Amino acid sequence: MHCTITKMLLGVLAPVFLLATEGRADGWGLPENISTFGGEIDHQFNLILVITTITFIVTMTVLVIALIRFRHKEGKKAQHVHGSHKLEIIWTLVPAAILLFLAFYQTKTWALVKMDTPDKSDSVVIQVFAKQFEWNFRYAGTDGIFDTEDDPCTIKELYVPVNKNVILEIRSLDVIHSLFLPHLRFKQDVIPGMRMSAWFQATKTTLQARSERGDEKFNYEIACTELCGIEHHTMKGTLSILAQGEFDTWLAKQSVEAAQFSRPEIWDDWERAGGELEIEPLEEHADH
Amino acid sequence: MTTQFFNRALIVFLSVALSATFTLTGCGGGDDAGGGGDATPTKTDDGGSKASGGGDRTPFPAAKATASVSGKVMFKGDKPTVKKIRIQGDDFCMAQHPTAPNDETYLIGDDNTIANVFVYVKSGADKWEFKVPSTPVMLEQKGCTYMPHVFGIMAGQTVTVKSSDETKHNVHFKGKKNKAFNFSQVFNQSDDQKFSREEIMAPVECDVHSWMRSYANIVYHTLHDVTAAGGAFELPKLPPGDYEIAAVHEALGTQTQKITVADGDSKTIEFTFSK
Repeated sequence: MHCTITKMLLGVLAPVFLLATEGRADGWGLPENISTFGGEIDHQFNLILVITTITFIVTMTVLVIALIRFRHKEGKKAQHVHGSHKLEIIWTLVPAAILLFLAFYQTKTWALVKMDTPDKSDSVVIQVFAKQFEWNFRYAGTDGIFDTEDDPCTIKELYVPVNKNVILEIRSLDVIHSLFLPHLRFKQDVIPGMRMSAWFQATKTTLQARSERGDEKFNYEIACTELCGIEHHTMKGTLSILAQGEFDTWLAKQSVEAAQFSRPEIWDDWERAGGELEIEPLEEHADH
Repeated sequence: MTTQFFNRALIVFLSVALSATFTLTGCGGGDDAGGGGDATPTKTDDGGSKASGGGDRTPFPAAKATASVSGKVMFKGDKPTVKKIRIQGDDFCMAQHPTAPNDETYLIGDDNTIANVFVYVKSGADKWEFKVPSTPVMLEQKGCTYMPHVFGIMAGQTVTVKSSDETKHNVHFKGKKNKAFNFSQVFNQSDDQKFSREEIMAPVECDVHSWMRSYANIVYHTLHDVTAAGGAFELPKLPPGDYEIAAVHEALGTQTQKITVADGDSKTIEFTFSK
């Protein structure tokens, strides 16, 4: 009894809490869009939300009406119905038509995000190496060539310039991960043994966002959205979007310092991870 | 305007869903502890019999172990550059290291002595069965670093892994001959583990902080040591006989020397590594 009352109270208080927190910076909807193609993604999202909301309301309304209208009444026998071909055709064809419409309607957005990849020569290319439970990032350094002494390597911290195309070359060392940059509407699954590539262009710097939000500690978030193991929740980081000049300064400084730091060993496996993964056999008699 | 509308729509939907969930669900049967959330890691087998090797071994003649071998491990040539480690992605760890710490791979002193070299009797002690020490070996995570960086342990002996850090670590033993272990630890948590087979320089890593690494050296006996700053080692209790002594460094490889000791001998040997 006590437990039921507690649950009921929670049931009442939870929505109150939700309503009270409506004023948070990004609301309870999608976070602020700061990518060039984010508007297209949001449009698709909102369109689908409208369709599913209407469907939800209509089906729930019909359900509630049916519950009330056909509830138990003394002396009235239940009517047995063995299906309706007409209804089944309708509720098969209508969703099929909606899905077909969505499939064609989103092709432009799909092409923009997944097919119209910008030219590397006019972009910042960053290598992203996922492992349980870290995002590793590597930059080409000021020499513009990867796998040299001046390559800055960072862990869980991604730095990119604003208003410039950024191409991420993404691989996984171990299991399936998914790189998610919510404010950029960027999400890319990372499959072991595959070379993934994706791009985005940010339209607002971290400093601008902090100023607008009045929050000096605000950072754009990096997350993993594929359950990748027991510490999956720790696989998050920060995305710093810098003005072009700041980014250039940062990259130059990091390139100079790179030689002083040990290169994280994970980068030894970068080439191997992009091809066929070989599982190292355990030695004989191992207790596995 | 559109965003506001959808925010409000989402709030209403979430409100209804949460109300329904909290109001309609029952108490759930009570015992939450039965949900399989036990954080205790799977322990390895005791390994005692394997540790002592079985077969026709005789107990280690401790009373006759009057000889000793000691010495130093040196480096010859141009010293490798000591690089720094980049601590990132964890506020606690970053606060522990206001300046980037040195990589512990090459701890070479001004006098060219090398620390963190594992020195052990590679052969010559196979005929004896050793008693497993009751004192556990401590492997501590402190300041987002493993301490010690290199340790020796007898198969069957307990290693107590402890976290003294107010952040979450993940202890992952990546040896190839012993059963792997992989578990998370929070502040002040400690867990006991055992190894059952001989294995040298087997890495223990933190999957959350990739710069954290220690090396376990598992042998079937207690005749081993790790060099500290100054490069000195000592194998103090050896019965008379012929031995092969090995020195192993995580990056510089392995060196061995054969030695014969008589009753009461105190012999000195030196290993010299180069890159």
